[in-house]
Amino acid sequence: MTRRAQLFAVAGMIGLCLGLIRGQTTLSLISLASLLWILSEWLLFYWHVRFQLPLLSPLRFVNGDSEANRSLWAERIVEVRVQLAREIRLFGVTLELQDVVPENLDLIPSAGGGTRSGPSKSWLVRNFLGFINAPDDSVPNQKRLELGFAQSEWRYSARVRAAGNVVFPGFRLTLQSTHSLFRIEKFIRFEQAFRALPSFVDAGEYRSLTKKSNVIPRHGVHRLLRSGMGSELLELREYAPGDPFKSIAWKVSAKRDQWMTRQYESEVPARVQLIVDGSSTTRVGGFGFRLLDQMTFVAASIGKMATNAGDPVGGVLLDERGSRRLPPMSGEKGFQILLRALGDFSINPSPPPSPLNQRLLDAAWGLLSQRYPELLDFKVNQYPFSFFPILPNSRARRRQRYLMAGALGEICGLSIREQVAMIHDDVTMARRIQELLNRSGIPWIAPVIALAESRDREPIRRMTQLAESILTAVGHARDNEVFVVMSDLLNCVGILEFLLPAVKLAVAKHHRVSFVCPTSTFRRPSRSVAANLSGNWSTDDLLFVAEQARLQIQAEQLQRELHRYGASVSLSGEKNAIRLIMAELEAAKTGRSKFQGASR
Amino acid sequence: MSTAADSNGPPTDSNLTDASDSQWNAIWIIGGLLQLLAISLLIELLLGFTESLGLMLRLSLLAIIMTCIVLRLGWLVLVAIQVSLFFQEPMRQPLEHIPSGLFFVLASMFAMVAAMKIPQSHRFVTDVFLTLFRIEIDQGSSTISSNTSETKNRRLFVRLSLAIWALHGTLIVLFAVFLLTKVPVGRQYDSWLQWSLQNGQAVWPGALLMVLMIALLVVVRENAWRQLEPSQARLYLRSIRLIANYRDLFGFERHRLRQLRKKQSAISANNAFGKSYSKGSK
Repeated sequence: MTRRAQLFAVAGMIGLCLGLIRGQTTLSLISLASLLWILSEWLLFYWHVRFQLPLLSPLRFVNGDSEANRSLWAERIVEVRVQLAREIRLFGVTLELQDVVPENLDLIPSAGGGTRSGPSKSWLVRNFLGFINAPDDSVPNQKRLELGFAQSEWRYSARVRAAGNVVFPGFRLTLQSTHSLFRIEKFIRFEQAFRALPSFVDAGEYRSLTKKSNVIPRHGVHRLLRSGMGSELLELREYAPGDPFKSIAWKVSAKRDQWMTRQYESEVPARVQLIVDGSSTTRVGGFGFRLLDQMTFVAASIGKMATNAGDPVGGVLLDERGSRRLPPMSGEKGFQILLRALGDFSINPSPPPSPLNQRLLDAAWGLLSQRYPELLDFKVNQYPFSFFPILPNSRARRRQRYLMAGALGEICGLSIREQVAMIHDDVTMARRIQELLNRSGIPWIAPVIALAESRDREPIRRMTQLAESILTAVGHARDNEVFVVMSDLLNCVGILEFLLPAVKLAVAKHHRVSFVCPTSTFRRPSRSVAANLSGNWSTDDLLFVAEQARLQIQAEQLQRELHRYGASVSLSGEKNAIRLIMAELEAAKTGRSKFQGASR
Repeated sequence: MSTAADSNGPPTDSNLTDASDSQWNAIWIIGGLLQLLAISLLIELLLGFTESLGLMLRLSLLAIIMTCIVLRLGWLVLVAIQVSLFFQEPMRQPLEHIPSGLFFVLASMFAMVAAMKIPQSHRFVTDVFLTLFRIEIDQGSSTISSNTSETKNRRLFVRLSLAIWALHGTLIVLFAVFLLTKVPVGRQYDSWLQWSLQNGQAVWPGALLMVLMIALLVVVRENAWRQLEPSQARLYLRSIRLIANYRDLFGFERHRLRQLRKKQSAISANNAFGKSYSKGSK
């Protein structure tokens, strides 16, 4: 029963009583008729709730498939079709059905809006007569049904924002009587979970434009300019005891009157080791705007290009939970395994603890109201009465907290004692709310995570973990491998001494180490940014320029430090970073100390 | 960018939208204003006491009523009619006067419901307007077209809604008349009271009504319980247990929090002592 119905009922009852007492027939009649009208609306509404709503069973087809556990791709369009499986009858009520879209999906407005949207509204209509127009039904994932219908379906499109997972929770329905006297909100659970694989740049095989040899080695095999068991001659040298007789260069030995031995080139695969640091600082932000999204994009692109060239790709994925090693794999199957691992790695774990505040409570209340409205019903979620607090706002907050504690207790399967702890302990409540929001696919943005908490609280531990991962990768490496370390190092310039020994060791073992540092602005820091901005600067422009200047200083320090140890550094997750890595890989294949020649 | 001139195919929505926008806006505005005006005038007529007021006051009253309607205050219309009747209708009327006021009641009901129809079904009078004047509009493409199935459906919907509403309102009013004539109220109450006392009964068969009420309550509660979802039923039981044991649990929790605070203060004190000690030793 809505507030409107309550007001009608009160007015009707008062009018009826007064009319009967004073003997005013018409007044009594109007009041009684209004009460009967409310009653008839309730009966009709109740019939729909009792007998028609249980028949409602919407089905969702994502990219034409109703089964879950499939894979989607980040930054690609997903076509969703919703269909009502069974026929239901509506009469005198309005049903709004909304397919709740996860946060990792970006809805694409339907062309031409909804079927009921009118023309572009004039100033008069927008500002003064807006109430006359129909409400905006152009929300593509929503359908409004009014009168009896057989079957209905609608479609909408969305773009996957980032790698990770995409979980469609279900449908939110609102049934209300024609005059909004009665309304019920429900959530029909129809969960479909998809793994979102990271996007990548498929630029084909990376090859140098300079001709290096006449003989092209097999796919995936590269000629390394070091002595080995290849077929191409590398050099001639004096015979040393132990050299095989078959490698003696007889003609040259005869000319020089000295035993000479032929040295052949090595034919080796060039392996790439991707070390991705997914610490909590890289997961802060909306989907598609996290530092981790830049890193997974670069990692997937490098993996694709290396796979095209036939080079095995392995990796180490590390965060606060530990590290996971991926053995070097080649071929399309290996690339798919790498993508799946990156996709799973992009799913946010439990966020770091955050203090409880009203915004966090409101966010949780909004989510519970949307997805668990039946658990916030006071008829089933009761709490002990108290006279205190007396002030209405405080009473409302108390009521909200008790209802939320009850709902969270039911959702998380907590004991009653834990439920009471949530009511009185802010820390426990904040932790449970964070868990709920994170589990529901809400990104790590305020208020899920406080901005103060998003700073790196343990940079030394992170550097140590990163160094250990590099050492582990070096331990599993053979020779002449390329280590691509993707980590947020810009804020750790002052504590690089914990990382540098591992880099030094890797370089000393004839590996190549390349760092990719994502930037918060998604752009390479440059001093010329301010010059490119013209006209009047807004506050955002000023902030952007200041951030770029700060990043530029940090980037220069970082590059200076790491270049001293023979490691290359690329900033931001742009294509330039991928090109740098591929150039490093090309140099590693030939064994040169520096890459040369034009790149692709 | 393609234009209507260089496209060889049939005219698209984008070509026609500009042309039909003004027509659309005009229809929307005229329909909405007509609806507001009709309801307000009707209500103003019902409020007979305004006839003695000046023009400006009447216009002001009209504006207030329109505002109430726009703000979805349909209940306020009911209250206004009730207040008007409360002060104007003569007291102690016999029930035989009902048929004469039937039209008035029906009109009041129409005004009350139509007031809520504006925000609710958006285009009540607009649709009627379009239907009556046989203007066919394809709402999907925002263009005026000749004839589409959607237009037909919409017209059918409007006609059906009108018929249903009229039938519904009339039935309700007739049923209210029936109830008022059958239930012992007003002057009939005295005779009913005398009849009850003469036959040795209570003032009203209260006991019977009480039993019926309790039985009805049991049925309703049982029905409500059976309709709960499993999670709601679990939550209900959980909340009942919580209320029963709340004082004890709150005591445990308060004790735990107190211990936790003591522990934290002790740790912070130790840290402070350690810092000062290390400074002193240096």
